[in-house]
Amino acid sequence: MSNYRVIFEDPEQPEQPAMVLVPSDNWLEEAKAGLLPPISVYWALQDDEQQAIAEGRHDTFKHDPEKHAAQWTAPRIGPLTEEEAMEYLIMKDIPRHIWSVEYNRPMFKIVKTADVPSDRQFRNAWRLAA
Amino acid sequence: MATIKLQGNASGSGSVTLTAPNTNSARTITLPDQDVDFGNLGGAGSVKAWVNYSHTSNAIRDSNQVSSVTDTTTGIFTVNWTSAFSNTYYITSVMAGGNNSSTNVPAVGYSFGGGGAATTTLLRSFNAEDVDGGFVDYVNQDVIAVH
Repeated sequence: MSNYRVIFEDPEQPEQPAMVLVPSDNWLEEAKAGLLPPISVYWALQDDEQQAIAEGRHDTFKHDPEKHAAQWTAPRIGPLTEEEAMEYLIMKDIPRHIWSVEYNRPMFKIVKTADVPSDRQFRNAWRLAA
Repeated sequence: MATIKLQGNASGSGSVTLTAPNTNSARTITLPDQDVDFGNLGGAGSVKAWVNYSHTSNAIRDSNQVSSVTDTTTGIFTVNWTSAFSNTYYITSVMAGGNNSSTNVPAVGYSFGGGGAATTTLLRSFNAEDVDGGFVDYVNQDVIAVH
């Protein structure tokens, strides 16, 4: 099991409690084995889809076949450490406005798995500590 | 004696590699006595991704083609696919259960993406209990995606 989790908040949804991203062990193994494409491959797909949403043509949206295939055909980036893989995962699976924009306080944090509370009684009140 | 024939493909230029597993045992692959076409294996209509997730402990027990799961809040979680689907017309099945409570009979739903928008990269699922409609975490959350 991964040693890390990512806690993050979405500044566009201030009422939302802190969210916790859990990496897949299988995905981490792929990252450590050097099987991932450049992160730009995923960004290109996300950008195209977001543009389609903004232009109101998402119902019929299909990814460009060449860009879609790049997920498997692009040259691999090589083996990552677990820490590097977590940084990659943030850029892949957490919305870009959360980690690419500087706010007046941190919006995400990589933490040890053991540091995430196991008691979920007050789950909806979780906030990211400064 | 029946024979085994390996045949290349004159139209392609790639190479196919058969890889041995990490084993110290002698293994045998026995082929069926019938025609089998693996041409559609992994093609349209197959399970492309799945995850067995525990929301109560916020842990992924096992998965395939899932890069991460985000615990969004009580009863709501987001599955992030390893690879983006080619479009949003993939089919998902979300199941919940395992809570030892007569009131936690799951009523599972899902929405694609954030802000009500469908995306090819994630699935947001929510789980309400049937008694009062409040959101609840489940011990077992199973999600599969077919395309």
